[in-house]
Amino acid sequence: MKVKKRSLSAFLWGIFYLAMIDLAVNLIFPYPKDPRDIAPSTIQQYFEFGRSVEGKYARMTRKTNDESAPIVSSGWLENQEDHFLAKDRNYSDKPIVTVYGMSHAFYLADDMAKIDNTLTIRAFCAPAAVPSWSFTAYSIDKERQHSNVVILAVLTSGVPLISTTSGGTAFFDSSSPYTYPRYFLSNGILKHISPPFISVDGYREYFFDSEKWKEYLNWMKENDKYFNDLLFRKTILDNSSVFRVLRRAYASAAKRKKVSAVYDDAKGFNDNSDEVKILKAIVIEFAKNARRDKSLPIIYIANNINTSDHLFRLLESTLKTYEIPFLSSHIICPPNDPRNFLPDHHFIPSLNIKIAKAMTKIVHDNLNK
Amino acid sequence: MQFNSITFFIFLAGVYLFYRVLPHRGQNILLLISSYVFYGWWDIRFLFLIVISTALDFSCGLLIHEGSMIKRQRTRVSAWVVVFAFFFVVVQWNKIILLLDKSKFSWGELVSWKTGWLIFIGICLLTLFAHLMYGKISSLEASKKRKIFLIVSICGNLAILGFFKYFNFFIDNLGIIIRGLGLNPTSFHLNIVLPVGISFYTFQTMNYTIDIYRRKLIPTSNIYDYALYVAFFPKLLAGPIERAVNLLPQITEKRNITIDKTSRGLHLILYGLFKKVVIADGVVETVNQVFGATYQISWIDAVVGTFLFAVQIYCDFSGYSDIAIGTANLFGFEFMRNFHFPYFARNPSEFWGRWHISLSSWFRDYVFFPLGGPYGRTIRWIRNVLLTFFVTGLWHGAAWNYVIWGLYHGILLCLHRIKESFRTKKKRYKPPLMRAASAFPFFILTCLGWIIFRSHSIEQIKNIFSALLFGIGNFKLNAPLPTPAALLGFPIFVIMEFIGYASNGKRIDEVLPVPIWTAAYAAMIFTLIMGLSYVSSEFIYFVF
Repeated sequence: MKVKKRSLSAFLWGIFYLAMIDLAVNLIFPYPKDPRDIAPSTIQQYFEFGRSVEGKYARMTRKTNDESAPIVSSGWLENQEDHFLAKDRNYSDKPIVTVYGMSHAFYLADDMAKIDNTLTIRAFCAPAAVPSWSFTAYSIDKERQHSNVVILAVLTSGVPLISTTSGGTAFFDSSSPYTYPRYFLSNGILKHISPPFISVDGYREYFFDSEKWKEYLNWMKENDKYFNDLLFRKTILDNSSVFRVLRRAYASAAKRKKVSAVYDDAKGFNDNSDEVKILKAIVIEFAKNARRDKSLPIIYIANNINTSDHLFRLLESTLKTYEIPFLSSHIICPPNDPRNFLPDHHFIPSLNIKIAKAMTKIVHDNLNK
Repeated sequence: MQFNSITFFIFLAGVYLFYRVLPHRGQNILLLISSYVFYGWWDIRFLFLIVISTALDFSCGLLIHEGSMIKRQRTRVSAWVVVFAFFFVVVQWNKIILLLDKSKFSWGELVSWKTGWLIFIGICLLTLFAHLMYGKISSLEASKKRKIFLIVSICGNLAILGFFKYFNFFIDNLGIIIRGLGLNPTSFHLNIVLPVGISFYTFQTMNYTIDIYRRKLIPTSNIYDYALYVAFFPKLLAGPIERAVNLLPQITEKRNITIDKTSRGLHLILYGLFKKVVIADGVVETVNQVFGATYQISWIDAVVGTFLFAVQIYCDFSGYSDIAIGTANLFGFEFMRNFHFPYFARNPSEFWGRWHISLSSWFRDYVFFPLGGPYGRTIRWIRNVLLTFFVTGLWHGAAWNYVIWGLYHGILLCLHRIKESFRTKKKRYKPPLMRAASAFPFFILTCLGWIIFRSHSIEQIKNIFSALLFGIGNFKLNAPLPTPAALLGFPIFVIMEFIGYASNGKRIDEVLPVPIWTAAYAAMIFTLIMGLSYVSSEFIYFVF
């Protein structure tokens, strides 16, 4: 009887302390309520990672861009004029180079503009954009025919995410609502299915209309390999920090499982995965379309930290077979040396400059041919 | 099936529920089947090695002790080997998975028609040969029989271990001789996969026959009980290396599951998971970055990497042991303690009484003492210590860094004994905090040993030592920081360890009031949930 009483008291104390921890985390590290506050501390962000995607969207989205968090309006495919580098808006006689991709691509474009004034640089980028986003960005770029050179950037970690359709399903920790089509191969031909909206206005229209939002969720359920109700739907449990941490653990495990079917840190890419086949088809299609537009296609391979040269090795034969010029970051910035990376896993600025120099050389060499 | 996986806990819950409703003999059979399923989950091919080892030592045990085996026992052992040879060698279990994937099921593909059948026929012939030889062997003189079967048991186990673990290592080190014969050593290399847990269960089977030979143990006449002793899943993959004297009676006799044992088990499982998931897995990236660096690391990298590896290996291995012991407790078993706060050791002698106790005591009893132990002339016990630590190092892996690490500890122990022999003053009592503080110098020496242990090459050892000695002042940390869960969990870990040390191994719920220890548990659970977000690495000692 004494033991049972002691066990019960221990259990109740344990529950009490967990509730206290939950409360304490929410009180000590509250996430800023104003969506425009973009500088919460690392620890505030950490305990926010596990909030449901809908919960995060609700926190960041208001009726206008000015009231919303900046991330809400970034990455939308229809807002391409926002992605020009300001100083290059006025076209001149200089050759035009357009870069499509993620933040690494933006740094490349920015540095190319800084170091080479003989080129006009345009950048069309989204945070952590996956190859399907970048390829769509290229495809719908109304002014792409003006470009003498088009650069498609591919990041190692983005390849397994080709089967996603939104920054919300691709990146649980720091979800962003922008969307992009889902690509697939049908009898060896690259096809795609587009989401119901690809602009920030379209997003607002859906997000603030529960029926339309439901429709969008159903679309994702069908077309997005990474969509998961438990992670996406907002519930009352979002208010519990313990539950948020638990959900984040589940999200990480679920993502790891999906990614591991495509990519393994030690072995590299799984050639038989759909995502790898789609990536290769995207690269080939990109080069074909660019050549049809009389542009020079270049592939920029950005290798993540600790991923060796796996992405380069994956694409090498395709690039050589189709004679597509390319630059792989691993030559300048060995991925297995952490000194080459910033804490946020971007390349250090001095290496960004080196990469930009190498890219401008490739551009000039090929333009002079 | 890792101890820190959801699969394991589902498996454990299932086994436990059945276990509670079965009678004693049924419980043993259930545990044996579960243990084989548990091991087969890793690699079903190597289950047959466990079966062979079981049959060999079970028979040798009986022949050493009684000089004979009755017909029923002989038939059972033969049937045991032949049936399992069919199931684990002829049947191609990997094909089932492939066939299910393809949704095409063909019985024909389930059976290996070539190699598998050849091995099976070979095993049947060997079993028949053993039966034929039995008459001649049983007529031998009793003392001769005892020696012969002890040698058969030890050689059999060492042959399995030697082949799977050390074959390529020996070939590499016999390179000069092989090259002298005009041959290329690498052409002798075999593509051998190391069966997980082999070093642990072969040592366990060897202590069984040795103890019978030394008349410290009476062998069991039930092969299922012995098979469970060899394969009992909580300790199968990475110990503790249980002694038959301790474990076998618990298998043969009815076990009691008490509330105290269960709560102790749950405490150990929780604390083991905390150490593994929060601390060991939380620092693994930092350690891998430092020890995998292809560039000259900074001083702070070397210091942080070395310190964190010391933390990682302890939390990883003692975490595993805690989960193993805790799981055994749930089933009513008592395993020996494997770790006793080793980083509070103030000298090498104390360290080896606290670190991987089941292995160090094994080497003490079966290698060090048979060599002559600490007796005789100085040069003789120094030789005994160094030889024992040489094999201790080699046990950890077929590589020279392990041997050097073993010898490093051997030398430390010799120096300590020599120093102790000059000590005249009696040791005075010190409070726990003072004792813990005085352990720091030896902790540094232990950490230096870990550099040798963790490095992949002599070059890397040099790289890290040169960063430590000549790079002082370089505070640029290139390696990533441990995870937030590890940073938050580390103070809890230190407090838990200190309380355990100061109270001589008592659990916190035994020394602190409920409202205090439950707070520690809640904090552990919270950090454990945080730790689950990160990639879980395999237990370090699985490769040994």
